[in-house]
Amino acid sequence: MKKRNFSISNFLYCVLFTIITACIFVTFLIAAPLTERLTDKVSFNLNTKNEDFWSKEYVVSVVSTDDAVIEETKDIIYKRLKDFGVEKINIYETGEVVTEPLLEDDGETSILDLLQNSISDSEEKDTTEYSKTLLKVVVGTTRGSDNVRPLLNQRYNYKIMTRKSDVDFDDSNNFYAAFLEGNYDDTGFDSSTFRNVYITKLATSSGDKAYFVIFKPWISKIGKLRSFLESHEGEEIGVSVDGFVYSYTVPDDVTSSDYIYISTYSTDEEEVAKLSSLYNSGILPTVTEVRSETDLDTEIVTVDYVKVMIGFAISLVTIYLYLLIFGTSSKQSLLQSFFATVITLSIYVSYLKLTDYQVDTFLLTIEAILVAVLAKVLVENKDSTLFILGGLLLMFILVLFFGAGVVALFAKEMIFVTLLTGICLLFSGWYIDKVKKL
Amino acid sequence: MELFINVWNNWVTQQKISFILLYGGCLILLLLGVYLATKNKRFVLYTFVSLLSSALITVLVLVLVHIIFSVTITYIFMLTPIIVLFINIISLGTELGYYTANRKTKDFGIVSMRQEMIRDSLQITVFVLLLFTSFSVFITGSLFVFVVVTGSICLVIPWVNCGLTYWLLKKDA
Repeated sequence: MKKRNFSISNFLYCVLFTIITACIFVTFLIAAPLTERLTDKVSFNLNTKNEDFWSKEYVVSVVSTDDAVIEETKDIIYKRLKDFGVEKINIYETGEVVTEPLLEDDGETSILDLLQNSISDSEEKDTTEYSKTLLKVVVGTTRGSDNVRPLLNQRYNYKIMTRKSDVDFDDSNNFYAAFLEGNYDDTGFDSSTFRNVYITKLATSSGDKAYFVIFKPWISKIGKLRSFLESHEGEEIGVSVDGFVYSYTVPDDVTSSDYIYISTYSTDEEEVAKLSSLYNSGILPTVTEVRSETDLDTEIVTVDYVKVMIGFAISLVTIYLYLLIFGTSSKQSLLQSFFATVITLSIYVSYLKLTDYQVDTFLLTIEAILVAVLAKVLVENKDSTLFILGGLLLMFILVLFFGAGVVALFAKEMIFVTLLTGICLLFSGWYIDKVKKL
Repeated sequence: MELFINVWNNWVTQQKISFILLYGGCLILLLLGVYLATKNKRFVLYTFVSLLSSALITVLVLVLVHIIFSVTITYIFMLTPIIVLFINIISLGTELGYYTANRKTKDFGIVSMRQEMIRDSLQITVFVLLLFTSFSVFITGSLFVFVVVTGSICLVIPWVNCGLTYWLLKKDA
């Protein structure tokens, strides 16, 4: 019998391997279907989108018959929905043109509506008739419908304004004075001044965190904006969005702050995503109104992921047994690719479960199939690793940038999975090699 | 063809531009990558014809499925070209890797390259066939059609590439 000398390094090596192996087992157990039922200490159920999908057809009227305006409106609505993460978007003209007065928004009443209604109750309603082109916007998504509707009918025309000197903003009888655009003067700084509107969490004066909208100017306009801010140091100015003004106090030392930022009054991440889409996807060129919305049957496809994953596991084992029996590949390469596939999918599904990421079950299954093919091909063709991974990543990055909805989502997930497969292949080769030497 | 013309006409300008940039960008960058890796115009032509063939086969199959089986082409079919491109990049990548690694060796030739191509295509076929089949057992409706159609195109693509090696890569690969 061969004697093995005890050494600290060998011992530590064994301990390290035991820990790595335990981690692999834990990852596998977390990823396996239904294992969340084994414990109530940690919640790691797969959060599927299956029940959250809804689909609606909105009829939107655009106050114009000009083709260029209609095209621009369609483009902006599409960009807004895409940026917001709506999975299915279809926008088309119905071919109808109607002539009628502006509709009253029958949706959620905004703060602005409340303010304006309270002030102009006695004023005559606008009865001028306009020619309106009708569009149909069909969406299918898991995003909240309350956040989708404003993307279709809010212009989001924003500009920086200064307070009129003859208006008393401290008048207790005119509480709304600070919010109305009519009480402010134009400054010439509007959406064309800013390259991006960024929304992030910042500390408030009370020490809590809240979302703030930060207006980032174009480099060519920083100087002009800074001069403007310097001339209003310590003063209250306003950012008007579709007529409702958000106050902003210009700091005493503006040289350290090139940006204007206002509070969003939002705490919900999805609402913040909606705001970001509204600010950054362009201003609707004319008035658009949502005339009606109809619930549709969801076309979104879902699968029973437990059944599919069991079927996938059986198929994977069957394929590898087939390849082993017919000897088309070496045992080493079969073991490495099988191990890499299992680890990749285990890590990926564990990540999805632990982060509570909302998963499209059918996308997950397709991704699992592609990972299995990719791992096998990469192990068998080591000379091609760079070309295959490079080509795939290039394609998925392009799809992520130019694709929309489910295609962009698929690309985003596949970039992660492709990289993970590459890393897991390296790891599985190293692991199998070291285990053999132990 | 009416199906695709209708889809195209219903797209907003941004969708059309994105579509052209996506697939045009993929085509140009992949061809550029192949040229930089091989410096061989014939191989670039082979890649171009392969990518073009996969696009044409995808369009043709979707049209035929729509006409013959009256299947509605829903939004999930937008994934079909991406998955087909995935399989095609793998298929082309294996060949490219073999070519760049072995072109200066004594035993390298078009025959060995074709053998390698057939071996790789066979493996991709086995994996795609069994995994897509196992998936399709558990699904119904439009997703079933999507899996069968996409899986079928993916099965054809590596063998089209094999066939193209006989046509485009004759002696001086």
